Amino acid sequence: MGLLLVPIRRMRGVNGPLTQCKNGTKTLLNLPLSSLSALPVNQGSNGAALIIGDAMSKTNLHANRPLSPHLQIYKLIPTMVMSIVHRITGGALYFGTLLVAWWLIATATSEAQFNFVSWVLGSWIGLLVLLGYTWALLHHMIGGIRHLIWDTGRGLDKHTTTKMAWASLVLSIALTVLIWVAAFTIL
Amino acid sequence: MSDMRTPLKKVRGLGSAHEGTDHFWRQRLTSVANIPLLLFFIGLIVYLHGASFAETRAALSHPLIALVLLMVIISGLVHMRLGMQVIIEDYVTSEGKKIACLMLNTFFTLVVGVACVFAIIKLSFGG
Repeated sequence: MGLLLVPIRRMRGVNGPLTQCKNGTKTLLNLPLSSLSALPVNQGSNGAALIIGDAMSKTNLHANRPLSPHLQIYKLIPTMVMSIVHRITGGALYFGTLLVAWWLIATATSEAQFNFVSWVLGSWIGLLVLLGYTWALLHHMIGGIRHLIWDTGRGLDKHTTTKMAWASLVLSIALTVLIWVAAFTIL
Repeated sequence: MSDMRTPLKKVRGLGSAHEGTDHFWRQRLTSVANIPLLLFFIGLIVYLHGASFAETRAALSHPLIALVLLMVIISGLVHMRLGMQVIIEDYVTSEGKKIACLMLNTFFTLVVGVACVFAIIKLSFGG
């Protein structure tokens, strides 16, 4: 069974070349990454340290790999929130199509079915869902336009993206209000 | 470093997933189409707010409205299926569950799509 040589650089996600092992150093596989630099390890010419274990430790190696910090580590910033909201609104719109299908099928079926859908969607809960659906659609659309602008290579610097994030929130709420006011007053 | 790719592979430009930028492109194409189409849809819903059964049927069976509505449905559903595919691929790491979710994604899209298209066609032709 051969020895397993893993340079530390590779463990950190940076590709470093495998260097030759001089002697049998202690295995570092069960230690967190922060402790690795403090330990005396053999340094190759490229700064790659050598870790030796047997093949059985391979699973251990994968299990103890350093992970990138999870969501709760980061401070919430507008661009990040709008990115998450873009995905959530997309998911909501996905299932919201069931309402559209229901409404169309009911209208194509009978007056009783149509009246039932109208009653459900016209109830407080129905209106609340439709209000959310309107906002989700507009927010996703404005967020999508933002993506289309980015696709051209424009508006990618930090301050512009932050402004765009706030603008998409403000604009989506404003347009939602405008559409609902139009639906309940003009027509 | 020598390039291990064959000239044919480079010309095809499909990469390791064998579909190149197809997903990305379709997502963008439908997103551009969705902007006017869904603005039309919002306008239609606002217009039909408070409309009676007969008025709603008359509007939905109008050829122009029916045609654009079909495009709204098709473009919207293609876009949403692509989007949900990315969400599944991001969060469902188990290979079996991922394939099941991707199949369900297509089934869901088809069920909603066929239902909507059938309803629009029935309103237009069936009365």
